[in-house]
Amino acid sequence: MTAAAQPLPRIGTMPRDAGSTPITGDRQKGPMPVTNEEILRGLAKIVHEVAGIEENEITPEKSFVDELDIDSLSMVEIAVQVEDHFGVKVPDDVLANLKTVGDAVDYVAKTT
Amino acid sequence: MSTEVVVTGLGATTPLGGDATSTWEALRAGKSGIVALTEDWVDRFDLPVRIAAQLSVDPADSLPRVQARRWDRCEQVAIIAAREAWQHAGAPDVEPERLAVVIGTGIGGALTLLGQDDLLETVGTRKVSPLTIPMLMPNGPAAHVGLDLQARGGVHAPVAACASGAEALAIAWRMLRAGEVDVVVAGGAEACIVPITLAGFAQMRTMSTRNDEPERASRPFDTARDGFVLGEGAGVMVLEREEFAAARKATRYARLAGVGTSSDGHHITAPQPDGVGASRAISAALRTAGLDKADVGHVNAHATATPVGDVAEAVAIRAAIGDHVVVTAPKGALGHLIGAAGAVEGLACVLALRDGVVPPTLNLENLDPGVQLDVVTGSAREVRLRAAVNDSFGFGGHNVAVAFTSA
Repeated sequence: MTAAAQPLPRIGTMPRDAGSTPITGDRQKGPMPVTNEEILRGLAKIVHEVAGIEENEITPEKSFVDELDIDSLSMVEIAVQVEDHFGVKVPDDVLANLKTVGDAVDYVAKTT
Repeated sequence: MSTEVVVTGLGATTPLGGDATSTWEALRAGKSGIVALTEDWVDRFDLPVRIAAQLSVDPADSLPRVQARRWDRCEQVAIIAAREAWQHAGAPDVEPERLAVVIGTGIGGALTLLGQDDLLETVGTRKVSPLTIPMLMPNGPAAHVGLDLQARGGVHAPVAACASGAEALAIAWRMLRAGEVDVVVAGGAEACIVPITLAGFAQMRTMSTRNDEPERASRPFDTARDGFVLGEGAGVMVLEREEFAAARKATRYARLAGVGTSSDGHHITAPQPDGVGASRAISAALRTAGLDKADVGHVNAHATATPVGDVAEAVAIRAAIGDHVVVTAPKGALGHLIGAAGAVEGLACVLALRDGVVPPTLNLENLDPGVQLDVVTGSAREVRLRAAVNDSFGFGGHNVAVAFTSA
């Protein structure tokens, strides 16, 4: 995992892959994704990075908390990475209502 | 009569090895864990100290990626050492409410604090990890081990600078003797080899600057000693009430027979030159263990290789125990593991009792005339031992001594 797109901590002593290391290497630079399938794939990569869940298990009907066992701290990390990756804003009141993976995909789709 | 406390499991990850066995074997063999730092910040900050005792096995390499990224390095080493100790003890079947964790640290999540502050300043608030606080809090190592083991009998995190790990053993002993719980997972963890700690300690003039000879830099009790070498790691023991260990037919490696704590009330960092406070702690450990001076055959000294501290400790050992004990100073090999030191060196005490072997003190070529003790040098010495004492002292005037006896 490199962190090329992210300003490295000056100290250079962070544990590899710690904290808020972003998804890198596949950051969308061109046109925003248009299909829900593309959004789902991008979201699955982020969830895998943060929570370690296999990407193929991240399907629209799954609940973040109840089924994927993602805690509120990790949800904040996911939200920040979703903002960076898709160029959207995820305010706290929206985040609180993103119960399933499908909710998040729909929100990104209608906001981009 | 109060219950006795026995040691049934050991775990460690240190500059000498990724587990307790490899650490002990390297210590016995007189190997050094001290290396030249290759990080770019050594030059960037023109640090006067360019050596340290870094972990021989990167903890992140032995943990699942997602767990590693949620745990500060000092939490990672605590978990690794605790899991090893727990397995070594045979994973005791204990009621969660009768299981406690006591793991100390000197500083806590220094890497997280610094790294996240860098992100705050360079990118902004929204890039600060929501895991920042649980990763930097000094009770994090204890709390994560408690979660890992589902301990519900209490999780404690003593902070007593370089005596934190030993204080954890002392608190565990008191909890077990009081019958509060049946099993305590106790030890210390530290991972703070970062520019600010090296700079801060160096500004105190407490660190060795023998940068050209890393393996010869840490010289406890030697006339040419010039300070300690910063290290990182963790040591953890599983301690049990003797009746509980007997009922489950656990292997015992030693007894944690007694503990003594005192405070100097003298200076925030300087030890009392006459070692009175340290001596009181050692005497208290003997008293609570029911040991006579003559019973104690071995002292694992704190001896960090600072000019003042080593002689004060030698005076304290002579006063509290006498000059018959066989002494070793493991920081010559391990460096100074700060909050983990007392725990890792406690492990060495237990294994010295088990094996009847006292490891050599590295780099002790000319014994300071103020140190009138029998200090092992060159190679390990075989000694029949019944009881051994581990000393730990910390900035703030904390003195802790723990006494082990053979099981």
